[in-house]
Amino acid sequence: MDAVGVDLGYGLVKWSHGAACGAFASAWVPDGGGADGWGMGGPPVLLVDGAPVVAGEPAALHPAARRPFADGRLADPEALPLLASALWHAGVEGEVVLGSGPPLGRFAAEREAARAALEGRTLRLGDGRRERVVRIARLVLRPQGVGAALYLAARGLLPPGAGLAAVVDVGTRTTDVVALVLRDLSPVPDLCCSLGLGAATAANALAREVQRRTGHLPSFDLAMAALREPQPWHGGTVGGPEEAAPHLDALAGAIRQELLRVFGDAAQQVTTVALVGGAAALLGGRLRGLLPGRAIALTDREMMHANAIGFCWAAERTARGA
Amino acid sequence: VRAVASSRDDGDGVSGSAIRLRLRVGPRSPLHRVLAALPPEEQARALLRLAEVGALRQDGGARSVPEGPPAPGGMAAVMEPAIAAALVRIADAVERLADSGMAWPGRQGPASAGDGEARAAALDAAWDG
Repeated sequence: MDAVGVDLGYGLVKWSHGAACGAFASAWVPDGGGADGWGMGGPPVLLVDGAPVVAGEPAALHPAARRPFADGRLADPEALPLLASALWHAGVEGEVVLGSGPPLGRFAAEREAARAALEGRTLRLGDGRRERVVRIARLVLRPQGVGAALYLAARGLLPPGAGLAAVVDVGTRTTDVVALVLRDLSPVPDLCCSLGLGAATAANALAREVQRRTGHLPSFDLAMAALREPQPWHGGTVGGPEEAAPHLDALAGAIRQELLRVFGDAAQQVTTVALVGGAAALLGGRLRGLLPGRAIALTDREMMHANAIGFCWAAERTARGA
Repeated sequence: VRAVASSRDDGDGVSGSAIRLRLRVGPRSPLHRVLAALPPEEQARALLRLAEVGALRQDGGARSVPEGPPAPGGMAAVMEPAIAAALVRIADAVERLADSGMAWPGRQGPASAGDGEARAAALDAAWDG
């Protein structure tokens, strides 16, 4: 049986299948978004059980874009087109084991609903030329952050040693922290947590400042982009590294403060730290020395896809009957 | 200075063969300082990770880290310059491989992949059920 991993992030959906992986914006438009485009073509339309949807970057620019931003997304029909698009991009067909997971703090609350909604579900996917039927035979759920820890462990990047490893997964809306005993990689539940802090925290603060200054509130997408580079806005530009710096500093400070509150004296036991998640690269050096211990060096791309690859790894293990 | 590392390569169909890697690093190089500060097993791991993704350039019998400034942003902001430059090249190599549809290097196991898989399985078991 085939296996696929999908990290249904609030900013980006990441998928992993075999040796391939990819990502697209967590946005979709129903009915193809009126994609006939007056004869100009238009973005690729995916048929999900016969219903046309546009997902990813083209949808993010659409005025009617839907961005499921609430909890319980794996069970939410509003998020199903995103999951379907990920399965389409991954190229899977027939019976599959799907690996995925909610934020750590929501794991227990969402697990059963996600299983009920997705396990045994059949999706008919097509682009007008081809059609693939995918049946989710099993849903393997691991919390976000744990997916990344599985990736790191399978890569041999969490070798046995003294003390604790902390995997800090900085996402768009949440920061998930998984603490593990390095000797045997057993989790330390008291030190694992989900913080309601992520890149969106800084983007929203930047957007509010732009509105105060210009009288216009930028879109979420524009504010997120403005955290990295200046963006054209009402005859001028907003954002960029200098303007975003105080908001990113504040976010990094808040994450650091919350982590130290959760870890307390146990922070001194942390000997290995891995920063993962799409927003970890954005914060860069601001999280240096977040916790004591050796930092695992990862590429930006590894940081972004670690959860999806870990989810896929867990799904492959289930598919093999391990 | 010559650092030597060896590993079994399980990623490209030559499983069982050993790779030996020699890296020449000038004594004034920041990379030399960083490598010298690492314990031997970490030194080997760092070199192998660079080699795995082709970040080291063949240079007459030995391999050396190419010159060049690190790209702005990303991990470059928090790393030693030479390591950052090497990591940026890793990222570039990974991007190129991914874009070309070839294997994703992140899925290839390092020398300790077998142990890593077993440890990951132990962690995964904690969440099974």
